[in-house]
Amino acid sequence: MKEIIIIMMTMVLVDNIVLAKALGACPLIKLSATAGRSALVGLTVTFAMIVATLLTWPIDSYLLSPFDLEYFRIFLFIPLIFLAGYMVTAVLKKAAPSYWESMACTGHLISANCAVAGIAFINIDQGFTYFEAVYSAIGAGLGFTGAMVIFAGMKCKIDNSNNIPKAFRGIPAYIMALAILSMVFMGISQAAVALIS
Amino acid sequence: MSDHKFFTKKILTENPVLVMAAGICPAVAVTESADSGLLLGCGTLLVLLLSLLPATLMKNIITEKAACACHVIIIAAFTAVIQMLFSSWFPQVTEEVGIFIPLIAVNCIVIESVNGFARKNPVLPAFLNGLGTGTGFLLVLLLMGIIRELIGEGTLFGSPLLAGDITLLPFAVLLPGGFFLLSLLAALNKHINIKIRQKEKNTINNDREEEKISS
Repeated sequence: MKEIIIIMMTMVLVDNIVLAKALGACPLIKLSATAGRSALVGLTVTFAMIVATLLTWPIDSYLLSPFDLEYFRIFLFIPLIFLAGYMVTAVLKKAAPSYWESMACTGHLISANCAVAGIAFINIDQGFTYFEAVYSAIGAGLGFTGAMVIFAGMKCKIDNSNNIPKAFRGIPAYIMALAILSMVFMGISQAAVALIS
Repeated sequence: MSDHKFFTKKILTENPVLVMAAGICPAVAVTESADSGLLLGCGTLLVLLLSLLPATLMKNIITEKAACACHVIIIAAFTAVIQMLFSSWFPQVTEEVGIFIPLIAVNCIVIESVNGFARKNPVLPAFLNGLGTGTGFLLVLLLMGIIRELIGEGTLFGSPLLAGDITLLPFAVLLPGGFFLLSLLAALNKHINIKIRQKEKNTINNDREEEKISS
């Protein structure tokens, strides 16, 4: 039980997938709007991560690693990750069609982005067991959702302010906000490391 | 538009990283040293070009629904090939880049270029568009890698440039420094684009005035 909590806290606070590893920055910048929609996108990405891990981990540990076939990893994982994303977005379309229309067909960005694919490869690189990999995916998704909700608030403030120079309006300002958020996060992660250990 | 425009506009006015915010994940995490930036930029360019060609050539043969799956498999195959080649030609730099070579396959740039552009356009514009996108990405990665390594560690492609052990700003090698530098580059690019657009508007206005005067 303790290991589960430690893994999840590590993924959320110390090794956050966006703010410490820069893996989910594209959907963060392009898709965060209001806090509610950001939370929904984060939840979708979490499910995509979980399904991707469920599909890819057994393939690697039973089909690839025992026979020294590591070079097949990319070729098998990437279509599985896209499949995971497709399944999750299909479920979302059926379950909440109004939200899907408001997100306006950003299918690939939500379901098969660097974060989801990154988690699938990171779980293998770190040598987790099946359950540890799933918990790590849940933790990464939670970290992504948290970062996205915070960033949505920052984006609102940026969009409503009048003093930004012309060259910085839009994407440069968002990336700068992400830089500052990432800096703040470095401090939080040191505190979390002290807490955990 | 004339064909070469597909190439040139992708480098400055519609740069995939700085304007369309499409490949930010690798652009920030990999450019801690100049050689990893160069490697990943070249890798993305190669995967992009190699997967574009089948996509444009097959666009009249496959149906819409099957196209997505086909493109994913083609991109994954070429990424696997590139990973194998790079890990045997440049083993140390590939170790540094780590998981970002497999992540070329889910890079927004590659997917948008193959699925969005190459599937709807003839071969030459699609090829030039892909070449321009990949070159724009490579230039941004190279520039960021050089600046971050020079300022943050005082070396350039591994060999020390500044005398002694001077590191100007170690913050530049950390992740927030990368985001910071990227936003500054994006702002610089936007400034240049605004100036270009103003110049174009001025030339259009001048042409109209000359027509009025002459008529």
